[in-house]
Amino acid sequence: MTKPILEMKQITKSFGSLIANDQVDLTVQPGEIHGLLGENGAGKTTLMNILYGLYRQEAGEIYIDGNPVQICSPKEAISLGIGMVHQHFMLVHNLTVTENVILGQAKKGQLFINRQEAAAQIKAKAEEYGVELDPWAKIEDLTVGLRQRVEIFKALFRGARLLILDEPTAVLTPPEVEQLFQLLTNFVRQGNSVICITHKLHEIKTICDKVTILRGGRLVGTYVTNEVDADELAVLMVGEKAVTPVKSRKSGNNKVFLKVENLTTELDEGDSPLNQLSLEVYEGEILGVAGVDGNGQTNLAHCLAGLKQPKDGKMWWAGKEMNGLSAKVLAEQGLAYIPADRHGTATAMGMSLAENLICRRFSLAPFSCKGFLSPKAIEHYVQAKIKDFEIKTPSPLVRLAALSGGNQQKVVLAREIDGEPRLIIAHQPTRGLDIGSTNYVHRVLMEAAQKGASIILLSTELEELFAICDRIAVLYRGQVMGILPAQETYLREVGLMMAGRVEPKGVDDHHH
Amino acid sequence: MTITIKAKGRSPIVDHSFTVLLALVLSLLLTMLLIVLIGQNPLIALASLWEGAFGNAYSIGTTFNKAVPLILAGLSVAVGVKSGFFNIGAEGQICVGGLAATWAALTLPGWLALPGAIVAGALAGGVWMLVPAFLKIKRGVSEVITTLLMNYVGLYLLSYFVHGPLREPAAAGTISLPQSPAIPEYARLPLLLPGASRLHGGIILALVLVAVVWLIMQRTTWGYRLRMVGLNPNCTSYLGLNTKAIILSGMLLSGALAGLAGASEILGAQYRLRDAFLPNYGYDAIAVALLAQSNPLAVLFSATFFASLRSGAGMLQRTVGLSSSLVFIIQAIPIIFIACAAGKELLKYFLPAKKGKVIKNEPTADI
Repeated sequence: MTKPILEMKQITKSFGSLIANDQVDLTVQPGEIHGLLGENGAGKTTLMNILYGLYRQEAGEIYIDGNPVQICSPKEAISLGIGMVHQHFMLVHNLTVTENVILGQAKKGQLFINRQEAAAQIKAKAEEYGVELDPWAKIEDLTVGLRQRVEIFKALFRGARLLILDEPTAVLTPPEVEQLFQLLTNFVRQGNSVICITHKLHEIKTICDKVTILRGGRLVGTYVTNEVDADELAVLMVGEKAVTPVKSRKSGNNKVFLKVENLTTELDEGDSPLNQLSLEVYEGEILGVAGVDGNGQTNLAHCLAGLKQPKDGKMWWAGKEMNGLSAKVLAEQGLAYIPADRHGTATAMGMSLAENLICRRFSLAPFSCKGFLSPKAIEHYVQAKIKDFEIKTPSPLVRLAALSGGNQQKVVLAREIDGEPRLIIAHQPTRGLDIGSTNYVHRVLMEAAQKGASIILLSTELEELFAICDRIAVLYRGQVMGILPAQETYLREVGLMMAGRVEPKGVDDHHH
Repeated sequence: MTITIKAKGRSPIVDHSFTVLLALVLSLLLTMLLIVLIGQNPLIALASLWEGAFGNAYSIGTTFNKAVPLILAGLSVAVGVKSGFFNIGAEGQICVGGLAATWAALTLPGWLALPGAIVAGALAGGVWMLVPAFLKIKRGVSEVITTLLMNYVGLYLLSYFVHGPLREPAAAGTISLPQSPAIPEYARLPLLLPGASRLHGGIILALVLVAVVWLIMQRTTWGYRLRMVGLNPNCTSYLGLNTKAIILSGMLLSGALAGLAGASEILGAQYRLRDAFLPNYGYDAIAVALLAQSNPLAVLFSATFFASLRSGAGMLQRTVGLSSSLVFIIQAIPIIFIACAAGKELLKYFLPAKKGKVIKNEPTADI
């Protein structure tokens, strides 16, 4: 038997109290395309970052070709023949393909670069792998698929024998996916290997020889893809979760509060556009929106919050049209929005806790009067909120950046869920939080629903959705695949829909 | 999450004060070394520098007169930094501020002349900012480039006016200098200690504006908006505030402050408009704001520090016999050191993401 090209044994890595990888094993043979499957937060990227030298493991060993190695930096990883293609490409846009590929590759003492020679090599290599790549094209003129190809060639020209691809098909069109697969197949035919991080089941079935599944930082197992079917993979990925129903509150009544019909958005970078999306949320209900990141969650949240105008479709709340209302007006009329990006959007980290708490209402009485802020009124309010929301801080004047993630999120919650909002859009509100803070966020949301607010909880964590939602809508490529009651029995179906395995169906409203 | 708090260490203000102090000590040592190298006694040089800046009522007055434009232009840069843009254009705004103030002082009647000239200076500085503001808001052009380029337009516009329309009429048979006529007595900022020093009312204007700018930034909803845009424009958009209008208002305020620097210099110190009447003050103002970490109250002190270097250097030249180019070097050394110390602050404008350090230590969902 040949030596495995890579063996990772008992890899453990934690971030604070969160264990991202717990004694994970991974073995990759030469000539193999190996899938790495798992939900968001399962520990796939952490494991690969360890392999690429971006993180150091706390325990466990790595063997390349049977030899134990220490990988402390990407440079060392590259010298061992490991190449990584990140989801976000790292290319110089106004340089040519050749220049990007040879960037930083000059030998010691070499003064001039031979572009002609390098271009010829690139062309030859592309032909060898059966794909097209114009060495003289500028990156800015290339499609996303071709840019990815340049990234792959960058790795190849640095001598990669083991190529790590992070969600390679997330940004590609179907024909581009096919070409990528062909390139990879030709690459491994020469005895090289590929690790492909993904949560798309059909891709695993199409190109991977083996698949290793991670769940919650732990290894579920490694399987030969021919021996398991996609449904089994889905269950293995999602797991037979012990879902503890925290839902002691009464579910919402039968009055529809929010109605969204055929919502469609323009194409944009980063997130799937919405495609004729329809859903309804009842009064006092928590509607979970499940789905892999980037399937339209951000667009949906932005449309509802008035930060983006849909191309088509209508939204009503309490029977009144929401289209065209600005974010400010919506917020004033009782819409609370907790964005996914706490640092980049929801707060100004450099401002004080107090200033972040009042940023929705600083221009209103009693916080200001005739354009002047009223420090006393602000302090009074802020102290009350700090107490109500159990925000741990030395003082209200401390910069928000100095607080822990959990306390920062409490500040956002305290601000947004102020004055009994009618509609709350919570996008990944527990991302990066520890268990205590997560529970706290859940409690606040459930209390708000109890008081009659309608809530849309967009999350990639199924556990979270099943724990606190009444119904779960599954989002896939900007469409609602289906809406199911949040009961354990539907876990498997939700998992399948997340992977796009079920035909989209209309809004299911039999449950009320 | 304890890591993040530990990593923060001392408070940022203590941290900054320490860096600044270190920069000042180092620049002083380097200056003394330089003086030793040219064969002079560094202690005597230091003493005469002090003597020149604060030795008697007259020199103190001169120091504070030089501080006035630095305070006002420093406030201009500081307001920019706090509101998220970098005003390199104070130099040009000073020029047009002085130009407009001169014109108003020569044109407006009696009691209206002085207040009118001050307002005209501020307006002109603000108007000069309109072009960079428009380009930034509508076209996304970096204000670092546009404000800098507008400096040259301002300088040459000033030059055109002192050589042309505003040039003092020549007496018969002579050629007049390229400068405006002297502004009338009633349009001048009064001398505060007549006889003892040339200290003029501009310092009061500067002190009031330090307080006003502090008040605006810290105590008004306008300042709150400006600071929020400065720290995270995404957040203001998310809140549904008009981010572009806020940026525009901040840029106009910044331009007006620099315009006032030019106006007060003409109305209080020079009385006549000349070519490049405040050379490099607009650029020194950047150092002033960096040293003060854009805190309006600290601008007062850092401007005075730079002004004392300018006024002390003259004495240094006379007593120790330093050549004038060396004096410029001695003035430049602390600026370089402080720029290095404040480099982190500067870098923020050229790095895309403004994210806190905290993020790296925190696990995210993407693991």
